[in-house]
Amino acid sequence: MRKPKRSSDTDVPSKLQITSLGSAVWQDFVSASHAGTILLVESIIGRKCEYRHTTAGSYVVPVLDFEQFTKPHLVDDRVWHELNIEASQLQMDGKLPLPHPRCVFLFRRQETRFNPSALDLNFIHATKEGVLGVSVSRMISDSEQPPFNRWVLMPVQFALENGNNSITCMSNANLDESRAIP
Amino acid sequence: MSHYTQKQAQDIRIALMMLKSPTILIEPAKDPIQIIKKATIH
Repeated sequence: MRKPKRSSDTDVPSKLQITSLGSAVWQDFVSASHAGTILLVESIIGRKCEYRHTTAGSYVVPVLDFEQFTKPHLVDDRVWHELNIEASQLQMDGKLPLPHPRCVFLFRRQETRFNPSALDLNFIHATKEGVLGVSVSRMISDSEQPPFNRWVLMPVQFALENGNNSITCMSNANLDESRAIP
Repeated sequence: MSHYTQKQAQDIRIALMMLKSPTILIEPAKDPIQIIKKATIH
């Protein structure tokens, strides 16, 4: 467990509080997994998605709650750009630092012109090749129609591979969800 | 959807940088073991 620490001499704001709670969100997700009500996208035709219900496996992981993870809220464009350059270099060197070998980052997305507000649970884990991950999202809406207010397992996995600075997305229509979440 | 995942992955990379920044306040969970226990699926 990292201890609280703070300094004020750089540009990254200190107002961000990261906890390993996010417990209400996590409980909601775990309940959905128990109930087998997580949705997995099977196909997308135009704007129409087909889903099937699934569970999300079995795991014990630390959850880090980043609260509202948006550029204007946390860091300005310049700081974001600098952090991105630093991250690219560390990925190139195979030194992207994970706080735990397997963990979950919780992002709370604010509503935008195109998307409703959302909760994103990002499952990430370290491998010899780099960092692999998959996201489960819940869009918050008044609508009861799926996929709103349901946890949706994205049928796309991502990789931050060591030795290059690109982000690889592996779309897989036949995603094995029991293996998607480490 | 791939575009969304791409952006998500980039945000995670930024989040990893924030975790190692000395200016970020890391608040330990009050009872992390309890939370992890609750999160366990048997």
